[in-house]
Amino acid sequence: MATKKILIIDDDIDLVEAMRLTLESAGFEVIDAQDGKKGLEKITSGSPDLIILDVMMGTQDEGFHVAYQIKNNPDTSDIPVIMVTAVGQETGFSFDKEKDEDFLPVNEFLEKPIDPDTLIELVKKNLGQ
Amino acid sequence: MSIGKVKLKLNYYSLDRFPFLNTVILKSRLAWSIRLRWLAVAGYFLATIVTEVFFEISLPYRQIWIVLFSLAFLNLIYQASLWIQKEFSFPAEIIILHIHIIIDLICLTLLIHYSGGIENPVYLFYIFHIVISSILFSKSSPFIIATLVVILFFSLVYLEYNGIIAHYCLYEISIHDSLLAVVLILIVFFITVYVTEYICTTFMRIYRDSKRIIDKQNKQLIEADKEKTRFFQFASHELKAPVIAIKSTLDGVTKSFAGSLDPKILDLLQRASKRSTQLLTILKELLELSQKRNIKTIMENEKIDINKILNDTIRNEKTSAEQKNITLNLDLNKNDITTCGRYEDFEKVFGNLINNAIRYSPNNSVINIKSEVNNHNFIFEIQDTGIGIPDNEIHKIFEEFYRAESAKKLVNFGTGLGLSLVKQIVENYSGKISVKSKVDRGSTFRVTIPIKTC
Repeated sequence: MATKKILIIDDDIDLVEAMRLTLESAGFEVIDAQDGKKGLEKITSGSPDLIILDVMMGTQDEGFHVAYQIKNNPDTSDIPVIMVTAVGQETGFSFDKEKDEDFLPVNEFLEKPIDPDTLIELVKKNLGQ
Repeated sequence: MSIGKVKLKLNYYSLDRFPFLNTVILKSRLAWSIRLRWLAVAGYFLATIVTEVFFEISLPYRQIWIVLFSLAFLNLIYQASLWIQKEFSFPAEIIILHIHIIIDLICLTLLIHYSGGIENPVYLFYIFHIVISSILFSKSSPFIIATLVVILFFSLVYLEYNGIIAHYCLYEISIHDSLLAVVLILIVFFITVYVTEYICTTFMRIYRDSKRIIDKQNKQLIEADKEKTRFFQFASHELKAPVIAIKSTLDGVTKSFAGSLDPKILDLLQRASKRSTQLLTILKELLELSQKRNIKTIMENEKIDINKILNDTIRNEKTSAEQKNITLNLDLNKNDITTCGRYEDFEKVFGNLINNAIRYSPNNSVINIKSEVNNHNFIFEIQDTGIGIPDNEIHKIFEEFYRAESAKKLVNFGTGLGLSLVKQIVENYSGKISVKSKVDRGSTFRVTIPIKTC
């Protein structure tokens, strides 16, 4: 089976490296981008099989805009997106994938930090493995 | 008209001048005035029938009915225009209301003329128009309406007194040609009109000014709340991000190199990860507590079923109970209990209380959980047989970061924020939380929250 490529779009380079470590040890190839614009470029140039996308980067909702662009582009709309955020329920910032499906065009919505086993499990599930 | 004047004219009708009005309210006022006019026309018509049939007073009834018919016809046009034109602009509605009042005043003057002039106290009906215009319009409009009333009535009396137009006698003794009676009535009428206008406009000005201040302050409060939300989201991100990176790195290293690491190093890494989890928990609870204290107006509430949330929470906590072989003895209200709130808030209240009961109860014990509805209040009660809280500490348990000494001894880690958060949430819902406890016998927490509709 060909190695699956994961694109991590997150402006926290340390967190990207931590996720890279976890994902590479599970046999995935990892590419990354530090903002939404570069992320969209990497989607075109790197053809990832799955995207892990942070919500709050340059702006508080940059991740949402990137997610819309991914899902509105026929070439990228099939790529599974796992959306992650450091801003959680404690600030009233809560989403439910089922309830907010129209609003949230992503496959998973999770609050950071993500346990390594959960991360690998979710990536595999969304890649159909 | 210059552009400046046009702007001035438009500003006159801007909503700022009428902070208590909007197009919807004005439209309902229009509809209300149309209904009132129907009543007035019908009432006056009946009154003329009574005066003709029962009192046999000789008045020009044909002219009176023509005026009433014209007013009814105009009212029909107003009614039709309201049905056809669903939306009026704000200035248009103000102008329409002005025109209505002016036409009403002219019709009333004609009716007074045909019904006995100064002898008929129906001229007091002018006061209604002054009161209504003072409520609806600001500044000069009510004064102009009052002056128009004075001009119309004074002109009528003057013309009748001097015999320029006919006077129709209502009584056998005529007072319209008595100078003393006429002057006296006109002076009293003059004073009444302007005093009414002054009182009403002064009252309305005070009301409008207060409303303007309240609206402004309300807007500032909403803005401040939004600003706080943005701050909390920013603070949440900035405070948590470094800890998240630390924890993710530690967990990533532990997971990826578990087999090749010295067990001692692995243990240290796992301890470090555990402490970063504790720090994250404290940060989250602290942020949540601050947020619950500070932001109250813009939280989105929805219809929620408290029983469902309670059952979900109990299900989530069952594993912790089973690990200590603790029995959760449930006595729950079986019906749906719908209230207005946020799922997360109630989950937090139940979760914290149940989790505390499990954490501070001995193995193989029983925890009683009860829920009921009494007098539109939802009541949740949880009774454990745990370590209990000493009398001298019980009043402190809802304070931030406070943990009873016995609790610290039994369970190493706790933020000391859980019960503060629970209390804050309960209070945000206008509820109450109380506790009864005895050392080594256990504690009973009771939450009462009023049931509200969305």
